Amino acid sequence: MEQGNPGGPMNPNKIEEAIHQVHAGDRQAFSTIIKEYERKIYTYCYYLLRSREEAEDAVQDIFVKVYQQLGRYERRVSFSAWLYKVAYHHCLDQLRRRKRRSRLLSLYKLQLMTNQQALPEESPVDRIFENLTSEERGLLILRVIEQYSFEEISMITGSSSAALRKKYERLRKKLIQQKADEKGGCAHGEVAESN
Amino acid sequence: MEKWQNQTEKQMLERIRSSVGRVELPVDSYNEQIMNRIEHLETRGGNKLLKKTLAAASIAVVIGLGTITAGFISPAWADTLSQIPVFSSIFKHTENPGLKLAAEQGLTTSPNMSVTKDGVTLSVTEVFYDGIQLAIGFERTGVADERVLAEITDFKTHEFDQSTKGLLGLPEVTLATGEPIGFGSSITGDVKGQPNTLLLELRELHNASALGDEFKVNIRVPVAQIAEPFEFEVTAKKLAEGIINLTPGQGASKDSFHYKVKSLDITPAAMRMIITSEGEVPASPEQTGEYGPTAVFYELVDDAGNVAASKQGYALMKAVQHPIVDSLYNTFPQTPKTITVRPYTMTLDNDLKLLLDDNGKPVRTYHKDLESTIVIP
Repeated sequence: MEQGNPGGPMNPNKIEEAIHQVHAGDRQAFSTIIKEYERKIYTYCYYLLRSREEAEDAVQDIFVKVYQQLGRYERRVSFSAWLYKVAYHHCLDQLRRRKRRSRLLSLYKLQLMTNQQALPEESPVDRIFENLTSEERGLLILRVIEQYSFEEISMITGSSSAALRKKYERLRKKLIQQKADEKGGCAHGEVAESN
Repeated sequence: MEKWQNQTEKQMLERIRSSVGRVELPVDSYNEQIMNRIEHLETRGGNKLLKKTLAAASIAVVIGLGTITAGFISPAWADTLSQIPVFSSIFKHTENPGLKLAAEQGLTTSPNMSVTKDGVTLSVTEVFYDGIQLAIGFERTGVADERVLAEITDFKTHEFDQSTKGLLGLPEVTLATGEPIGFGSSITGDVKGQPNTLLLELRELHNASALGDEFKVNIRVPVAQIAEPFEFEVTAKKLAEGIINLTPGQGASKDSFHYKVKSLDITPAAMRMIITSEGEVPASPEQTGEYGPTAVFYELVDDAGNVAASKQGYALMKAVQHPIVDSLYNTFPQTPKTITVRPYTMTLDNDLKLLLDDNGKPVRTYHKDLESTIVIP
């Protein structure tokens, strides 16, 4: 785990240098940034959007956006946190669009049964994520996987760090409860299987 | 990071970490795609010649009083327009696999019509019609905002948020007579991965046989902060080949429930089945008490075992009996010899939540005695 360098690359200098080169007009230097972060950003989008196809599109859109807005990046925050900020807002926008599309169909009082329900290769962890909201899933990734501080997550998401702390506490409780339920569920499953 | 209280939490977080850490990109890298897009954007933004061509195209269109038909664009113009990168295929990026397939096989038409008003250009780039669905692809230029469709504030009146200039309201599609086109469901929305595009799909068209193999439609698209809607007259041409229309009339019964396949239409892009039914929705022994069945869904299976799922939505009510179900399906890889209709229900609990299996998927109850096999001539 990269303590003290949340969400960061193995070599921060390499990234700083690439940013500098892009600013100086070397477009190709942006490839270094893409290759360093694309997996992380894809993972984040995948868990927020719960769709592989949408995450694939999102990761590409996000890097194009990041390239276009690179001039706005200020070194007050880490580059990775800024990248996550762009990703967070992009995914939020995607989720709103999705809502709008399904609202159109809700005219017919129907619920879209899209492939969002059928995620391939579902693991127990996927099931844990399934019961969380997009916001909770995003928080879990930023806090537990990327180990950002609440202050940094506050910068990424625009929520206050106090509110984030509360949300995170609730999320912990929810996960523990889920774990307890899961234990019950497993026992039930085993009985069913042995029959 | 605070210390975790107990071992279970620690283990769970470790499990999450290791599982999330194992997520891999579906491809080696998106570097090439992203860099190509960036290059394309920069070329587009910086190429003066291209901008000039676009402006000239717009002038030609404005002369047509805001409405343009295919006749206004000479083959030379059409050729020029098709070379401009904005007119790329929208359908190829849609979530509708049939439409994607149709675009890839060149079964769509490209009217390439543009209307410019007040700095905003809207183009109809693609049209597809197969007697089941009418899909129209739009592309917009001249607006910095990435969003294309405005927030629709009232779906009945089609009122929309006018605060950002250049965002579109819901397109209105009418026949040449002025009558609106009847449809079962519609989807309007931005196309992901294709900025500045909008896709309109009218599905399960009503009375499609009366429309004929070729008909003109008028499309009016309201745009925020632009007084007059953008108008287009487009010719929809029905796909000439690969369409099978059947009226099998066969079905099956169980207890009081009875259904009949009224029609089955197969095109290269979609299948549409209309089922009529009567009687009570069949319930399995598990679907009693707290639980109850949903409405009946009809899955299609071909002779090779491929399954086409219904795109029918479900109402949050137990045992809803729909006398007519008009539903679209994705096509099979090849035209099948037979198609078996496999009716099933899902299970709702008292909170009207779907009963899920261990994998988190809705539990389906199939009724073998209600299956019916249709022979495709």
